[in-house]
Amino acid sequence: MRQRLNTFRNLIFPAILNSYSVIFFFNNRFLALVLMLVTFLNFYAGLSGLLAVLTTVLIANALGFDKIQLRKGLYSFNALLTGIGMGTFFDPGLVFFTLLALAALLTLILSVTLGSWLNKYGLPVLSIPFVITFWFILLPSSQFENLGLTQRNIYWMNEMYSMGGNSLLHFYQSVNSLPVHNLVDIYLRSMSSIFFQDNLIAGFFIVIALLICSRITFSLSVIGFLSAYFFARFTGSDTASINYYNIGANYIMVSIALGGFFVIPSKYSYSWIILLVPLTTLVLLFFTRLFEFVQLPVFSLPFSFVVILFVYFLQMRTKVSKFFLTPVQLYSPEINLYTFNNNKDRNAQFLYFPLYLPFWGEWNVSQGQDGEHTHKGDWGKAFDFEIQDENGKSYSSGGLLCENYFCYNKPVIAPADGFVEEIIDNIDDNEIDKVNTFNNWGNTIIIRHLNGLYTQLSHLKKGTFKVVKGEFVSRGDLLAHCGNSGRSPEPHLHFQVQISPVIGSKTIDYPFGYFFETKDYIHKLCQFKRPQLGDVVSGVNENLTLKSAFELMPNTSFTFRFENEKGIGMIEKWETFTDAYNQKYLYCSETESSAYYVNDGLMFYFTAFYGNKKSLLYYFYLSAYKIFLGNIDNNLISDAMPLNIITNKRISYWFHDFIAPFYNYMRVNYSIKHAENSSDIESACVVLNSKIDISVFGKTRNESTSDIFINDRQLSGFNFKNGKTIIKAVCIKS
Amino acid sequence: MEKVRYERPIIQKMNTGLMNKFGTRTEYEPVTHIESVPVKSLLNDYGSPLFVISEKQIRRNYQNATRIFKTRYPKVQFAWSYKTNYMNAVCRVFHQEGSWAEVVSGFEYDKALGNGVPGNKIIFNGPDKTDEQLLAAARNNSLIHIDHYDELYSLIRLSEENKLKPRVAIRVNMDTGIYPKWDRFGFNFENGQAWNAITRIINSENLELVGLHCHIGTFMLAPSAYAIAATKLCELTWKIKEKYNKVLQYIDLGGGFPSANTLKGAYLPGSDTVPSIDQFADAITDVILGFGFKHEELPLLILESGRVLIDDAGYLLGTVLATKRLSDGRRATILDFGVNSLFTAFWYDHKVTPAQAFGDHTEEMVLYGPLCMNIDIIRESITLPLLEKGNHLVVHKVGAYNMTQWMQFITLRPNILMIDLENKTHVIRKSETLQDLQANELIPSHLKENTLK
Repeated sequence: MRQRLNTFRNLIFPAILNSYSVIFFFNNRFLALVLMLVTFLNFYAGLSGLLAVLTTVLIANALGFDKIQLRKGLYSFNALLTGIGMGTFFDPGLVFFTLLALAALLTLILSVTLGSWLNKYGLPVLSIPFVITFWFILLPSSQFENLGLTQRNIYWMNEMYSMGGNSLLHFYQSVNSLPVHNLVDIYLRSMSSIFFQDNLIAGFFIVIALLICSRITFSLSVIGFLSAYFFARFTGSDTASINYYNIGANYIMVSIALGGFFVIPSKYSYSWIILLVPLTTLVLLFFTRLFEFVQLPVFSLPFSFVVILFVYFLQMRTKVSKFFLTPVQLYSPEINLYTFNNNKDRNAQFLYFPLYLPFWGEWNVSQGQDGEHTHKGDWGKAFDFEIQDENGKSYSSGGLLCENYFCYNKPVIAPADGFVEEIIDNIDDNEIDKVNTFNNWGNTIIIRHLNGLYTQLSHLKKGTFKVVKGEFVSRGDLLAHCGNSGRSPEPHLHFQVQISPVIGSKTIDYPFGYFFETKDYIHKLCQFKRPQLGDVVSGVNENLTLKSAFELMPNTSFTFRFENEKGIGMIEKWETFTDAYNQKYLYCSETESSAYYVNDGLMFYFTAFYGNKKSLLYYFYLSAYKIFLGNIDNNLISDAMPLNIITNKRISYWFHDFIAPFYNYMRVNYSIKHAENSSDIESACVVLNSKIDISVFGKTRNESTSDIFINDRQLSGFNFKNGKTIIKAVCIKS
Repeated sequence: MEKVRYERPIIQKMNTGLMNKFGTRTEYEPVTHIESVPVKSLLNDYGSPLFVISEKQIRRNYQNATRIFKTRYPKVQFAWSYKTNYMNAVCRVFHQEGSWAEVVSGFEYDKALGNGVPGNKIIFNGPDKTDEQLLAAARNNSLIHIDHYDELYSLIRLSEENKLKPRVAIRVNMDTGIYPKWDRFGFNFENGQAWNAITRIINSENLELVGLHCHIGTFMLAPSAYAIAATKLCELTWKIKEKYNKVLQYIDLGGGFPSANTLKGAYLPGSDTVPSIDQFADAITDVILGFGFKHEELPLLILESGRVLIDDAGYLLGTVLATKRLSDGRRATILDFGVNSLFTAFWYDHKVTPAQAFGDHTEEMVLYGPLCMNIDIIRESITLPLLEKGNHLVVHKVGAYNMTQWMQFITLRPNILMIDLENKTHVIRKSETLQDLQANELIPSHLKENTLK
């Protein structure tokens, strides 16, 4: 019994609600409830819609379809449309409900089959199952003698009278005859027609709910509407293409889908929908005329057709630098946009395997990528390094001997873990200013880090190799010493990344993961950057305390004790998992929340959070958003966070959503530092202070502060403070 | 045109023997400027004698030494040896460059704190640490280097009583094949005392053993001694890892690198015989890197070099008081500074150059200080051009130990000046006055009446 109740609470109920809101591409309970209310303005339509959804959800659950899809309402929203449509057009009765159940079943079958077929191509099924099902009902419906076409829509006043008496009728009439502008009137009625209605109240409720849920969706609906309206006036096709249903279910939906849901909202997407809505008019007129032959209405077929076509069209691009498709669907244009913007800044880190500088201490870049001497053409993406003194000289006492050069005979180390693929160790050092163009690369080592990722280090000193071919080397292992062999007029180290193991392969453009750039005594941490000519760079050392505290092995778990906002003692347990795509995440089963993280050995950072934003895991996600696991003298690490983490939403935030696709004047900045000076000698206890600041037009205010405690090289607890919310969590088991 | 300088006539003994193509003239050029500030104006403005420190040279030395070590080894930290020169301005230059502080007394410890060094970046060495000082160091999370068992027991007792867990290391002494063997500091390696002390620390719950320290000697001329010391400390580190599964965080090889000064009795000048820092660095890092530690378990290498980083940044400027001829005919020159200011004259044959142009002739002479003491000799024999009263001299490489070991004896101690990176001058220690010296003197009441009439 309890289990059934749980299934209902966690699956059936959300699935039903989401079926409503997902029509506008949301998973939002508030919107769902408003939409449900709106459908019940036409009582039988609302009822049959709800019944159809319930039937579909129950069948889908019983048959064991994917619970996540089901929960999102993706299997059942077509049934909702079918149900509302049927309830609008037919008279209720036993035959009707039987037919309704069959129709619901058919939409489910179509949703699943068509959906999975299209899914292979990364495409949505949209409302095609609804359109087809409705055709299946509509054509044979004349054969069912006991099914009557309803006349309620004609005598709706009678109906309303019987439901709510005179007062309701008066209210309804007074609202409906409000002196609103013609355009507003058409707009609101169009919105209501998405649910087969034609009244201002329904439209008004829908629009207000949409505005509360998403400013972007609202603005897109207006733009879609205007575009359709003015195009129809322009071409004079008003009578044929403009009716409330077409505007609502086709033009506005195209605008919402392609302006902000399937693509990241931007000035490009907004411009495109101004073009795509007229295009939809063409498609719509064509389908309308075509299906007239078989007496079928097109419903929202043009919308589905245009959206699927256009999404597929965009997918076929090979090089995308603007106008992006939504990579991970988070069911809100704002969240999609903010998450995307945030990831765009951070995603360099996902793309690259972190390579480290192949030496110790501070070296200078003596020739950068596409340098002026030898880094040309296919071999352009290489780096040359040498050591210079404070006066910019690379040698002492005359510089006539290799030994005079600071970098000569200095250790060269492995830039990352890998296997030694090739070693050449038989070429003598050149005299200064002579080059050996016969053995261009000199003594060289090639390391395979991944298949297709090789690094080559050249001009090494003969006889100094500490490793042999085939050996596994760890990052930082001593390989050989810097020399002056090959095409090298003076001692230096050549470094390049290539996709093949052959010596002297062409180079690929690849950054170093983490390194310090020194300027005026300040060591600036560079992340996934390419050092430039003249830069003074040095490697980073890991902080073993932090490293072991944040090395979350699979199957480890943390149990935290804390008091929630209301002062009630709580326990939360997190476990680490790895998903099918090899992404690691912390999962809290009590709150069904997961926080995805990456730990590349020197940086621990969260990439996404899904679930309950009142959970302790969420507070930890905010507190430990990014943690540098190395030693750094000025300590401060900062990062941008997605805007949607803001809890204290002010007017400026709401307004920001409207123009966010074009310009961002708000930033959320996360920063973290060690409470105490860190040093190369680690103490087993470390305290980290992090904070989140929000800047609006450059003016900064603090959103939250946190302290993270590490004891005996393990996470021992953290505090989080946001306004009046103060959470103190202690790790009681890990 | 400058007036031609008058030189008094001299009589030189004729030496027979093989002809020397280099002749007997001095190899020294006059040093008229220090970091482009004229010596003459320095002495005029700040009095004679005068210590001058070049900030540029300190930074150059530090950057050179760190570059040499840090490009050979991943984790290197220098700690400024306070006793070498604890003028606050000097210490702060080192701290700005990133150096920690190495102190050997409570007085130096407080000085380091006063210079803004965080407690966890102070290394507390030395055989004399009071309970109060140990407690303060433990509370500040400083690195306490234990010198003897009595100190170890005190520290165990104090940390138990006060519920502290100080970070400690032991000082290890050993035979590194050099003479004299320094075995008076720390615990001996060869006879097992060091291991014994380590075991005690690891078994005590209140001490956290974080490293090992040794300081094998001073003005070391053999890089191989450091290789031996590094090997022995690595052996201990390895054994601790093996036996107690504890990874020590650092190895501190102390100081002792020589500056380019010439030791008394040395045949060749120090600048030609002293090994370069590169040679020491090679010897040390080759041992540690080759010992077999995993990359992430490589210990931090701490160096407490003093002399080599500061000596050639210090100059002593002075003036000739008088010249006279000694009974055996040698020329004697009396200067306005002696061993009271230039303490290191006891150890080194300091390089001394005139601060003004001079003619071709030179003569051998003794350089005496102004003290009324027979031992007050700066150089027993030096060939310098003909000097006369009022001439200026520059003594080189005096940055180490003089400004800490100098004596207030007979005279007052002079100004210390720092020339900054823009060649601006700053007095960093004012010359002493009678009031300064008498400030702490007390006179018993029965002596207050002036009795001598």
